[in-house]
Amino acid sequence: MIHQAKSLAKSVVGKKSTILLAATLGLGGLFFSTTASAAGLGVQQTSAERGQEIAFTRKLGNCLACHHINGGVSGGTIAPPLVGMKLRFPDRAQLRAQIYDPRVKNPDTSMLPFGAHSILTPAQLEDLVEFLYTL
Amino acid sequence: MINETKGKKMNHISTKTIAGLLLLGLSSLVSASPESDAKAFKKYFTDRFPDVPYNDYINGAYTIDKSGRENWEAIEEFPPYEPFIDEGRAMWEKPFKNGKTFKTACFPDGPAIKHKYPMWDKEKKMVMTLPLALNNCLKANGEKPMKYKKGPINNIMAYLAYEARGKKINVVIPKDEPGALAAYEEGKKFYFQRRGQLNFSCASCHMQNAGLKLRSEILSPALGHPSGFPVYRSKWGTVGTLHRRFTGCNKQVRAKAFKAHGPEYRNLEYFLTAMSNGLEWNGPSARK
Amino acid sequence: MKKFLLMGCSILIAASVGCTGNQASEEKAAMKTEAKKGVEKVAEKPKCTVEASHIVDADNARKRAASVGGEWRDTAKFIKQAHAAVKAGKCHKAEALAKKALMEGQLGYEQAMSQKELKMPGYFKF
Repeated sequence: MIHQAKSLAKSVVGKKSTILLAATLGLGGLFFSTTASAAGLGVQQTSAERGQEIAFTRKLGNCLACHHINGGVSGGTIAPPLVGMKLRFPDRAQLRAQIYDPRVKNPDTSMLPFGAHSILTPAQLEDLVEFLYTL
Repeated sequence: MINETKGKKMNHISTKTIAGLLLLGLSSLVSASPESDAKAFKKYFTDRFPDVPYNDYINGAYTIDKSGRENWEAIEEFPPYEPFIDEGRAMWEKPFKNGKTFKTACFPDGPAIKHKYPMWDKEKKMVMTLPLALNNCLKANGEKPMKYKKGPINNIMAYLAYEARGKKINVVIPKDEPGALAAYEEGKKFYFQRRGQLNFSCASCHMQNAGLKLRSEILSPALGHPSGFPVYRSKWGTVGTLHRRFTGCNKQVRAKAFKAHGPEYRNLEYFLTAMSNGLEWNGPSARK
Repeated sequence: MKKFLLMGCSILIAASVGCTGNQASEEKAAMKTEAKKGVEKVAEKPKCTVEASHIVDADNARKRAASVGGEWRDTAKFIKQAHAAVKAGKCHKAEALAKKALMEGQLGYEQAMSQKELKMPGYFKF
C-alpha cells in the first residue's frame, strides 16, 4: 500500500523531493497512527481514538460485549447497536450520565455502572463519549 | 380472609397466636412455594423460546444455539469426558485403607445416586451436595478429602453423573423442615442479587439476556443449567464441577467468589436445581 | 622530559603513601563506615505512616463488605499491592491503591445492603 502510494506520489510530484518527503511522512504517519491505536502503542491519539480503544478493549469499556459498533468485530446482541449517538443523545451530559450510571433511568438494566462503580475513570468516560459522538 | 375466620372460630386462643397465624398467612402470600416458583421459571423460558422443546433445556447454550449445536453434537459422539468417567469408576471401586468402598461405607444405593442431590440433610440441618457427601465419607473413613474444583473430584463426579443419566431432576424441599425452605429462599435471593464491580446477577445473563449474544457467545438459559454437570469445558481443557463454574461466573462479574460447597453455593445449587425439576440429568457433558 | 616527569610523580606518590600509611588505613575505615551509612541512607525508605493507616481503613471496609457477602474480586489484591508499595517506600502508589480499595469496600457493602431483601427484577416475577 505505502509503496504504491509512494510511487504514485513520485510520478505526480516528480523530482520535487521536499514535497515527496512531506507526502510520504504524512502518509506514513497516518498509517502508523491507525495501526498504533489498535495495538495501544504510546503514539499521540485523539480523544475519540482513545475512546474507541476503551470501547473495544475487554478490560476497559468492553462495549462490544453487548453492542454492535461499526468498526468493531463480533459485537453482542444484548443491547442496541451504537449508531446515531448524537441524534439519540443531543445532550452530551445525558449520554455521559447514561454511561456513568444507567441504573438511574432503568433499575433493571444489564448495563454496567461504568462511572458509579469506577470501572472507567472520568477521563476515560470523556474519551468514550467523544468516540460515541463519532458514531 | 382465611385467617380472620380462623381467629373468630378459635376464641379461646390467645391474640398472640392469632397474630402469629395471620403473619404466617401473609408470608406465605408474599413468598410463593418452590413448586409455583419452578412453574413460573419454566414458563419464563418456554414463553421466551416457544420453538424449543422443553426436554431440550438440558443442553445448555446448545438448547438455543442452532449453529453451534451441530459441532457440539459431533463432539459428543466422541466425548472428551470419557476418560474421566473411567477414572471415576476406578475411584468408586477402589477400597479405602479400611477395606470399605464408597458404596459399602456410605452410599449403599450407588453408583446411581447423583439424582438424589442436592438434598436437605435433616440431621445436619443444611443442604447436602454430592461432592460434600463424598468428602464427608472420605473423612469418616480416614481418607484424605478431595479438592472441590480441580483434580480427582471431577473423575468421580463424571462417573456418578454418567450413572444417573436419564433420571429425573427432583429436588425436594421438605415442608416439615423450615430450614430447608429458608435455604431455598437464600439460594433464590442469591440468584437475583447483583454483585461485583460489574453489578450482574446470575439472572442478568441467564434469564434477562438468555439466548442473546455476548460478543459471539450465546448466553445459556438458566432452565436445565445443572443437568449436564460436571462438564468438559474446552476453555478449561478438563472436566469441572458446578461449583467451579459458579466461582468462574462470580469472578467474571468481578465479585469475590465464595467457597465451593460453602453455604452460599450450596443454597444456590439447591434453588437452581429445584427450578429444573422434571428435566433429566444429563451429565457429564461437553461445553465450549 | 617525559621520563623525568614520570619519575617525579612516582616519587611524590611513594612519599605521600609512605608518610600517610597509618593515616590512610584509618581514613579508609572511616570512609567505609560512611559508605555504609550512605547505603543505609539510600535504603532507608519513607515510612508512609499515613498511607499505612489508610490501608488499614481500606481493609476494614473490605471486611465489612465481606461480612454481608458483598466483597469485590480485586479489593484484597489492591490491599496486598498497597502493603508492598509501603514496603518499597512508594507512598503515593500505596495511597492510590488504598483509596481504590476503600472505595471498592464501601461500594460492595452498599451494593449488598441495598439488596438485603430479595428484589425481583421487572422482567421476571415468581
